[in-house]
Amino acid sequence: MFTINNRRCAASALIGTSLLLTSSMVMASPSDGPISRAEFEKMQREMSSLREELAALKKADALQKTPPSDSKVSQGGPARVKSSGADTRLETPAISALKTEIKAVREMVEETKAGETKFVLTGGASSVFSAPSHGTSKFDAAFSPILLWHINDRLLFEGEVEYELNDDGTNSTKTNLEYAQLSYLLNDYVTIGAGKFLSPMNIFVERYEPKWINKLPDTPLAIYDGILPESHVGAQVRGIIPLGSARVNIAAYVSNAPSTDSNGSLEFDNFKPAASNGKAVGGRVGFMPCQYLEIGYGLQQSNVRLDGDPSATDYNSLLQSVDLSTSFEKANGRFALQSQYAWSHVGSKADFGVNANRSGGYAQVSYRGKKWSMDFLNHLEGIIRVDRMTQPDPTAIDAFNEKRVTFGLDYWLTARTVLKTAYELDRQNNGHAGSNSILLGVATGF
Amino acid sequence: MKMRNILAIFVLFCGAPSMRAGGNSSEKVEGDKVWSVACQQCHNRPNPASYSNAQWDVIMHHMRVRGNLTGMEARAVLEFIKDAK
Ligand code: HEC
Repeated sequence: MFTINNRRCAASALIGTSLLLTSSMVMASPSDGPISRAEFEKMQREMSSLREELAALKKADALQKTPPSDSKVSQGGPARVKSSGADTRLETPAISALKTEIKAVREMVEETKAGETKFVLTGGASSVFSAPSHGTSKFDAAFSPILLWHINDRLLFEGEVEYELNDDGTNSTKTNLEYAQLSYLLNDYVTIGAGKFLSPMNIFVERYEPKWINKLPDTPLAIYDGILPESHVGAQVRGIIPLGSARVNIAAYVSNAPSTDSNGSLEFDNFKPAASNGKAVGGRVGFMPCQYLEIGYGLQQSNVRLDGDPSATDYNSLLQSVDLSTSFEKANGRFALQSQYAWSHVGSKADFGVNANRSGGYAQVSYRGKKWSMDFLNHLEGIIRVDRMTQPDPTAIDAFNEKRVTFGLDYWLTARTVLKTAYELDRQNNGHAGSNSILLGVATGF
Repeated sequence: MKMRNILAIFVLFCGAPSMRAGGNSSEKVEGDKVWSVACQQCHNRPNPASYSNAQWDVIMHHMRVRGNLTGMEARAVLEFIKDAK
């Protein structure tokens, strides 16, 4: 392997050789004797070859200084930048040694930049305008900074706080600790973590919810703010089992138990002193037959009590979910399918007067242009999502079942900045008027 | 019988979109393959030049945990990203 030391040696050798060459020229022309024609021509030849080399070096240096454009890299990946014709035409051993040296120096400079070695401040910001057919239209905004702290090669702290606007007319801001987790890499395959972490059972929250990742301006029914938990306070272990070209992703956790309301609907605000001393145990197994397809099954079991009533009886609760996601390139673009369906059961009919069974989920298909000759098309993404949520007995518990179909069209300004437009058809039952909405959003990750 | 059909569908599906996926655990993990397949499963790939090498070290630790990458994959893709800048 060509190590940094070898590269340095090569570069020093190059510089040394040029010095030797120059000094030999000087020595070959003693000041007190006449120069022969042969000597003069030899010198001329050497001079012109040196001139050529210098011109090539200058050109290579200029190329190095030109940064790759955003769109070039985001569309074709770095490989395109590396294999540009101009680079390979000029590639001589001397230039590549010099390039390597420049790169090593650059890396050294980067690594000594203050404040950048362990912390990264990242996250996202978004704004959404919604205009429902029944009701008032409004603007909304949110900002969620994330602090990543690479304590050492095994320990990582990740924390996210979301600032949202309260829609209760108080002109105030809601702050929510989305996650605050310390994780430890046990080995190449297993990680353990503790703190407040995103629910491993809820892959929408873990993978697709950040505003610059979620392709639609809003979130799917049942999966977000519905049947499934979004986060847990507890501990988790995650592992990867490679099986040839397939693999299995496993996550298991124990956390504070949720509580229930009088309709048998689970409340996941599990960081407050729990109504019961109970704990929830859950996890997810994801099977990946290949790298771009994953099928998962998750479950969570816990004993729950009525919210705010520490003396009440425990009810058994079971949550389950299945998910399927894939993303691959085809037909000049990238297709993605995200889907998850969840169902829950709490207590018995005698406990709540109804069978407290809820279910719901979503499926979303999208297509993003990638390789169209008209570049405008490579910034567009079309999305269709269907989602639904079914309540136990809407009339008995004064609730409603809901179904929606959402059509979206996004324009990606950069890999992490997007303008979103969507039209949402909404149907509700039990006397509730579903409202069709126009949604417009902008989101960025930083 | 049913199970065999389901497995056959997966195998066909996985073979269809592109044969570049690879990922056999007995092979050497290649950073460019992780970059072109795994890094696009959840979101668009950012420009490698948007972060310094030191920032990439931290981010890759984050993605290793969040994105279910093995240590080998994380190291290989990190090297690839730094090289591509
Ligand atoms: C399983 C899904 C998944 C995979 C696979 C994945 N990412 Fe991410 N990535 C995320 C999520 C989710 C976030 C946002 C984190 C948040 O907001 O909490 C993110 C954030 C990022 C960020 C922003 C900085 C940060 O750490 O939050 C970068 C850069 C990034 N990913 C790069 C990559 C690269 C490179 C790969 C391939 C090695 C990759 N991702 C693979 C899900 C994934």
